[in-house]
Amino acid sequence: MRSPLLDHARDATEPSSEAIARVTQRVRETLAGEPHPASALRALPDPDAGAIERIRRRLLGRRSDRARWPLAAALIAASIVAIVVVTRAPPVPRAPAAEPAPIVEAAPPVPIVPPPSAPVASPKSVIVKAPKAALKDIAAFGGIDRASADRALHDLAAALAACATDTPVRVSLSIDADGAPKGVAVEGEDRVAACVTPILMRAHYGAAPGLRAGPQDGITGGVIRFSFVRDNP
Amino acid sequence: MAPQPPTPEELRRAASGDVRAQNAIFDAWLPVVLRWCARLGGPRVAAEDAAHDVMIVLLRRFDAIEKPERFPSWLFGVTRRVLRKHRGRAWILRWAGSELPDVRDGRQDPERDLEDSELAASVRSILAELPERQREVLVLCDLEERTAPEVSQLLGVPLGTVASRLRLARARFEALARARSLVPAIAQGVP
Repeated sequence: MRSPLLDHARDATEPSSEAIARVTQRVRETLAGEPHPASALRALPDPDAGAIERIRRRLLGRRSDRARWPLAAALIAASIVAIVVVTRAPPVPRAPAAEPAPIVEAAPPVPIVPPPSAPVASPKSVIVKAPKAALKDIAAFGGIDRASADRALHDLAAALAACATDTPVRVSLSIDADGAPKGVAVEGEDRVAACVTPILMRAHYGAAPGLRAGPQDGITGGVIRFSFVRDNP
Repeated sequence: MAPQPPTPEELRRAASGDVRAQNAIFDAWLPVVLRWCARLGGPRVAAEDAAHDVMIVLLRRFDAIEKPERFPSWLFGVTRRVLRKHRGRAWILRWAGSELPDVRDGRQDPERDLEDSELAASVRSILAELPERQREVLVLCDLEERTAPEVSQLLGVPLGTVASRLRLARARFEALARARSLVPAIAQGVP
């Protein structure tokens, strides 16, 4: 039996006229620069046959050969004159060399003193490396470009800055279809693994219930493999 | 409710670049597509973005519609594919930070959001928890009040499958509503 509760969902998802206008406008803008018949959507009136013929004549109209020859001859003559003028022209004196800029001593580097509770510096001090295939997988899975996939990976590794060491730490992070971490495998010291694992497993990325889907929906989990190391050890 | 599918003549004219025919189909079906996107997309999918992508496909692919009588089914299939793509994108963008806000529906209108009751938000979140196939049938049958044969044609599945999915979807919806104490609230007349 149909639930009366659904009436609330119906009213709440009924598209407003503003929403319809916004989408229409965006579609128009998207198509505006494309060489597609639909690009004329609401923008141009239907061209009449006369207009098409005028444009055709303007683009394809030809002069007679007799009219072309004087124009070609004039162009050749102008080119010859230009070459002669350039080769006989006196050399242009060079401007005196600019005085070398005074050497300014660079300001001494500001020492970064890490707080005692966090011996490793900010997330920027982490170098992330991932096989090209991993980035490709992330990009393909999410339907995003390589730059976004790269940024996603860096953000992920940046969260682990406190665990970074001088030797690269290799991580394999298994993810469920809804975005929740399923398991973490860390190659390295036990201390590093103990640091990395809880951070990744605790991480909750706000998995939306609507995203809990399976292979039949084109959404599956996966494994993200990457390594990270402390920068400037 | 749902508009009539375009006639073969209208589709032929649209495919050959007739702007008026394209506009007529666009105007008639955009609200339908927006509804589908808002009701089937899920909480992190921006319905307007998805609807935009669907309508772009429509305008580019008029010539791909072989059977005009199957136009609604074709458009629903496009919407499904676009929504899956958007869900996948939402999934991966969570790793890139909180660029994608929680989008409850496609209106993005603060004033109307204020009017939106807490109950409506709960119902939508329950809908989002249903498996995609059950949610589709529930939305098409119980929200859009389409007939079972119509839904069967739209989804491209047998009539019996529609009926069984609808039964399961209703049962699951009911159970989730009870778990959130929404059913007693209705019984007591609380909005």
